[in-house]
Amino acid sequence: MKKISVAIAFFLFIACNHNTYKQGKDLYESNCAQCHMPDGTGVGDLYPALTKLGPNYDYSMITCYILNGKKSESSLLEMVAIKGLTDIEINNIINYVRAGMNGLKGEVSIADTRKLIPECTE
Amino acid sequence: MKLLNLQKNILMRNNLNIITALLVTVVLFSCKEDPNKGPLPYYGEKSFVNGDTVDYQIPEFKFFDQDSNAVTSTDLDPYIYVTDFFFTTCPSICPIVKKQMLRIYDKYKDNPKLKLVSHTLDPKRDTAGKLRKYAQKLNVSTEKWIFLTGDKDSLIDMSANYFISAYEDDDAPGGIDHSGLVVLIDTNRNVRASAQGTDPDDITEFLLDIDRLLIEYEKD
Repeated sequence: MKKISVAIAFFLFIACNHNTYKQGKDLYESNCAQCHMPDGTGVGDLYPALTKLGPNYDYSMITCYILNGKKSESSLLEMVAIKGLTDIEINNIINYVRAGMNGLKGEVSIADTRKLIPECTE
Repeated sequence: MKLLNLQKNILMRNNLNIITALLVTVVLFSCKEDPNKGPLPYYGEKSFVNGDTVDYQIPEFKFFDQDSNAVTSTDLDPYIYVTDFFFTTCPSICPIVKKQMLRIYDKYKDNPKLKLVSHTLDPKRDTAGKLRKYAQKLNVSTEKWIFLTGDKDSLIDMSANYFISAYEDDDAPGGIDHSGLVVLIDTNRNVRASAQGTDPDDITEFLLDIDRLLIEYEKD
């Protein structure tokens, strides 16, 4: 019985690990996809594509955009702040954009995101 | 024996059901016209003028484009056009509809017969200058894709003429409730096709409708 429990726990662990970006993807779809499009390709330069940010982009900055919104340079459209997300949820969205949409290895750590939150909201 | 009969009955009934289903399918398919053949239908109520049946026609209009130039229905008469209603700050369905309008724009970019016409429903905020900026950000040519503004009530009335419902609603995101319908108008201002701009699959069908309408003008 004990062996079975261990096996189940192990499989759950594997299964959960396999979907590291599942929460990020779900949250992206409910909070971001409306403007940035479900596949992240955006609409012209009105709603910027998130799929072409590339390896040199500072993904941790997304934390501030989520918390504060973002005014566009042309001051035509403004990104609204997304309220009510926890630090872990924000971190998962960022890593979904980073890994899922831009195919980059590694991730923005939760520590980085936590460190940025007070700086963004100052 | 009784049981056997019952089984037989059930079997027969099942067979009958299958045959009926097949027949219904055959009838349905034979009635369905091939969507890629023949002229597009005419939308709206027909009227009778001097004993002739006349198809519904979009009434004449005059609005102003992104450069503050007047645009009338007569200006658009040489073209077929795809139209929608939106506003730049619309947070809900507008981004996805614009994405689909961009697909239409990209496909017919080099076809001089077709134009795209987007009407704002929020003329107070969406001034000509703002619409011009919006077009720039979409990276589209305003020769091809015209953005119209004007009197708010006229714009709302006009949306109804295109069978696109729009009305002010404080509970709606952005204060205006409107449908994401895109509508295809021919050179006679008849309404020939429509699609949900929020549904990429519907727009894929709509692109075929546009092709069908364009064929009508190739014959001339």
